Amino acid sequence: MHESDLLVVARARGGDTEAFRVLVERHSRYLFAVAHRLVGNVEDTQDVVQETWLKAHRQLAGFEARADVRTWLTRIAVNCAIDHIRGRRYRELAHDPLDLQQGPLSERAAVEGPTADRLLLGAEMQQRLASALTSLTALERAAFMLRHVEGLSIDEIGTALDLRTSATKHCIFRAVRKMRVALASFAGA
Amino acid sequence: MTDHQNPGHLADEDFVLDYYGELDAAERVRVRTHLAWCTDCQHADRDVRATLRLVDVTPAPEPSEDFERDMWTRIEPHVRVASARMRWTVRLRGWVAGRAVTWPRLAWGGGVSAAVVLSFFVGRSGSMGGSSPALSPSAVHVARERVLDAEVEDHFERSQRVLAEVTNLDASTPVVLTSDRDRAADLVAAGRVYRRTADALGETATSELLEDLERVLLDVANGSPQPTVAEIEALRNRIDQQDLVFRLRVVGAELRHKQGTGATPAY
Repeated sequence: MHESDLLVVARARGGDTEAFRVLVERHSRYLFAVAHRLVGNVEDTQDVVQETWLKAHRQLAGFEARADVRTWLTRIAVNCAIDHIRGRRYRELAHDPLDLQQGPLSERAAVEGPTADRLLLGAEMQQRLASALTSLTALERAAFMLRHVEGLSIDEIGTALDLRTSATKHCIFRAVRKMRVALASFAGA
Repeated sequence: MTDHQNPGHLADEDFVLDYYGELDAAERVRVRTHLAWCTDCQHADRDVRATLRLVDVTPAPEPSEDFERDMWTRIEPHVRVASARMRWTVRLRGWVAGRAVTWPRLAWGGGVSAAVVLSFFVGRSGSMGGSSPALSPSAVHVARERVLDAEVEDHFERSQRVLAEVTNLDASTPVVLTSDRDRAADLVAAGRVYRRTADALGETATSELLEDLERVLLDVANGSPQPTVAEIEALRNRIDQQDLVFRLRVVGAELRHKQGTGATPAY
C-alpha cells in the first residue's frame, strides 16, 4: 500500500532512515526539474538536489503537518538553488565581472542530452531555446525562472537574490530580450 | 525581431511587466490604452507573449534512470548519522517526559550534548542499522565534521538571536531578562560540548569563536535579571568590541556553504 507523504515524514522525523529514503525516491526527479530550471546545468542541479535533501532532513522537526510535503521540498530546493547561484555569482565576480554578461552557463550546457519530451517539440526550436536559456547569465536565468516558473514577485526575487528591484527587473528584461532574439522565428509562427 | 524602444511607443519592459501582472493600476491603464490602438505595439506585445509561452512548454532534461539511487548514495552517510541522533533524541524525550524533568533545559544542557556525543559514537562505529557498508576512517571524519557543522550553525543562529535581543534592549525602560538568561545558560551548556567536539576534530577557528561566545553568554546567564543601564551598556560594548555578532554570521555562512559544497564521504 502506498503510504502518504505525511506518514512517511512522520516516520522520518522519528529517525527512520528508510522512511527518508522513500521520500528521496519519490521526489528527487521532481526536485531535479525545479532546480534545473533555476541553475541551468545538470552538474549544479545534482548538487542542489543533494543539498535540498540534506537541508530537508535537518528541517524535518520543523515541518508542519498541515503543509504539503512537495511544496515544502520545493521551497527548500528554491532556496538551495538561490544560495548556489549566489555562491556562483560571487565566485564569478571574483574571477571576472564580465563573466556574468558572457553567460558562464553556456560553457556547461553540453552535458544535457536530448530526451523523448524534447524531441516532441521539434529539434530545431528546442535547440534554439536551450541555446537561448544557456546564453543567460546565472542571475538572469534565476530571476527569470523565479518569475516565470515559480511565480515569485519581482520584490520577492530581489530579496531572494539580494538585488535591488530595478536590478531584478533588468535581469528579467535582459533574459526576455535574449530569448526573443533567439526564438524570433518560432515566436512568430 | 526589432527592439521596440521607439519614442511614443511602449517599451519592451512594459510588455514584460504587463505579462507578469507587475504593473500598478495607473501603469496598466496606460499600457492597455496604448495597446488598444497602436498596431506596432500590439505586434511587439504578441511577440513577447509568444516568446514567453514557448518557454512554458520547455521540459527540463531528464536525469539518469539511476538518479534516485545515486542521490541516496550521496546523502545516505549523513542521513544515517543524523537519523541515529534523531532516534536518540526521541528516546530521550520519552525518558524526560516520564520523569517530569523540565524538557527545554535538558534538551539544551543534556540532550544536545548527548546527541553530539552519540554522533561521535556513531562516527566511530561506522554505520548504523546494519544494512549499510562500513564507512572508511576518512568518511567517518567527514561525517563527524558535518554533524558538528550542522549543530554549530544552528547554535550560532540561536546565539545571535539572544545577543540581538540583549543588544537591542531599550536601556531607558525597566527590562527583565529571565528568559534570555535561561536561554543563554542552555546555550552555554551546549556550546561547551560543541567546543570540545571542535577541538577533537581540529577545528580551531570554530572552537575559538565558541569560547568567545561562551564568555558573553555566561555574562548574560549570570547577570542580573533586571540589569541597570550601565550593565546593559557594558554587555553591549563587550559584544561590539569582539565583533561577535558579525563573526557569528560569517562563520555561520561559511558552515552553511561548507555543508552545501562538502565532499560526500566515500565508502
